Amino acid sequence: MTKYLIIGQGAAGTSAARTLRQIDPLASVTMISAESDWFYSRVDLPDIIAGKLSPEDAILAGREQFDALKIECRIGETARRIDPAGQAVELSSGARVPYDKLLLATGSEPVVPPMPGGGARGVHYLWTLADTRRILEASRAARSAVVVGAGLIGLKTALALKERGLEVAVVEKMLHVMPQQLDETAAAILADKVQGAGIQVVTGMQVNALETVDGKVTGVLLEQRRIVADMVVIAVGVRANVALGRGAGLEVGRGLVTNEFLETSAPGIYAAGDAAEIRDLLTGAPIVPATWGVAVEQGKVAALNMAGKRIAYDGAIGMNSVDIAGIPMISVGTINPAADDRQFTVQSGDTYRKVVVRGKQVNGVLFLGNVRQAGVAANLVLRRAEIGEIDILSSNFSFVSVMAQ
Amino acid sequence: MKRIWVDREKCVGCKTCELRCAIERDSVGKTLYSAVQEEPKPVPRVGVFGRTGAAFPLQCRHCEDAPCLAACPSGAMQRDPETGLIFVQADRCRGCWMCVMACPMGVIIPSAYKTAMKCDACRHMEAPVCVSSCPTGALLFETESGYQKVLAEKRGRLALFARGGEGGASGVVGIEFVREGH
Repeated sequence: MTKYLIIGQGAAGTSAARTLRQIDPLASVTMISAESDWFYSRVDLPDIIAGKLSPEDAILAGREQFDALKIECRIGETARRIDPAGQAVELSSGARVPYDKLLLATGSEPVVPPMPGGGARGVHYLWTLADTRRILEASRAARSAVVVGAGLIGLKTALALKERGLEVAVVEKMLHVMPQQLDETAAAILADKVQGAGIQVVTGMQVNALETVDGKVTGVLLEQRRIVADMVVIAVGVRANVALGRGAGLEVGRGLVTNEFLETSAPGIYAAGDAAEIRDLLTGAPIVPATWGVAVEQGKVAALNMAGKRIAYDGAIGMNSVDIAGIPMISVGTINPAADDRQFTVQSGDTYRKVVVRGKQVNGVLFLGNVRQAGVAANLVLRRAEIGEIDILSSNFSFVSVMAQ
Repeated sequence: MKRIWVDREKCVGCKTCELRCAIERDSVGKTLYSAVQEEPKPVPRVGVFGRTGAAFPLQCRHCEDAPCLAACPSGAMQRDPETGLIFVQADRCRGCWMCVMACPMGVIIPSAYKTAMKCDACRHMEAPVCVSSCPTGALLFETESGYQKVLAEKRGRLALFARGGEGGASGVVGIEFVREGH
């Protein structure tokens, strides 16, 4: 009986566990999760802060579902050390869990920027369900909040806190909101909506320090400016959680380096999801895409390989989708063109569409305001399709336009 | 498992399927008269695309390896274990549009209520409304083998198809099949 061990119970870990159970009904499948919550949906976290959902609503699968699949879960236990030679993982409780094949699906963790006052009370990060409960609790006693970072999580958090009735400001050091996903035009449309919701948006400004009194945050300090805040949420990005793998001597880049079978530099140890560094489907460059669907796919592929089937993982491309302040947006591939790229845009009110073409290939697309058909365009990018006569900007663009090619 | 099949030669691009789908599946009043007065406007889950003369009614193919299922972070996108049909449990949908981004056929529609909307082959009804309303019979609700028979009949001879068994084909095949079939 093969012993499979999975560290992490997020999208990748759970997808792998389910896949392993599917292909081997008799194998021992064990999951270890440092979080004390069962498998939950990250997309729900801002809505929990806003009061629209309760933390229980976010749970996607609990004890019952994992029990039914005979997946042993050790929830709230931290894996402290991997012993690759002895094929076992040591937990903080001192217990040793043996394995034949190990999957590191340890996800990512928020980036903690070094700044004076960063360790004060009232400073939060929104990443886990536990973080969400803490922010929810803090927001009940707070009148004002500053969110540092106007990325996807930052803006979602800001809007959620605003819905709770707090005075909210967002500070972004880049020149526009959501710099990773949007260009200047799209960002302007979005920023306008966020401001319309009553949030102060400050871009192109760095937070130099957090102001504290008696160890509690009271505001943020920018260049020649101060914004009062009873609480601060820092959302300047996430990075792969590689500590466990690094401790075992695994090769680390942006994440745990994997080969085409999602195996790390140590034989028998695999990585999937936000913790894994994979290859960009278009450029071959090492990336960590960190999106839900990619994590599910990688979890599945890693599981198949752990079970001895040689299935190569193609890689992925950076893409993201979100709805913020009522504006849906989908951004795929390279949306800020390089020197030789051609870009095409069409804008009508709050609807904006952009295509970046490199040579004959569609290299990136951005749909904002109306995202219908964005998947068709995304697939053209993924397949490195030659654009030919296909007009992605046309209001008639659909899968049938692609079929007709 | 029954699927919606398209006999491409018969589609004249009249959009009756769109109209009936919007009325039956997205309007409150369920009649054309009331549907056209509703706000937000009822939206169809099938779309007729392409030029006149080369029109194609497109709706979810219920792919076997469905990217929308993997992409959904909230558990709203589900597959009916009995019929294999993929549907959205709207109260679980958070409107993140990951499924819209993942669907290579563009058949998932962001609704005015910020939930993903898609064809579920009218799984609570006897037959999909697009199929029963198509005036030219361009849409069929059949098993794969049933559809092969229809095509074979159309040709007036038994046709041999290099296809896998039932349920072994992904949704995209539905369309390629039509290409090969006529």
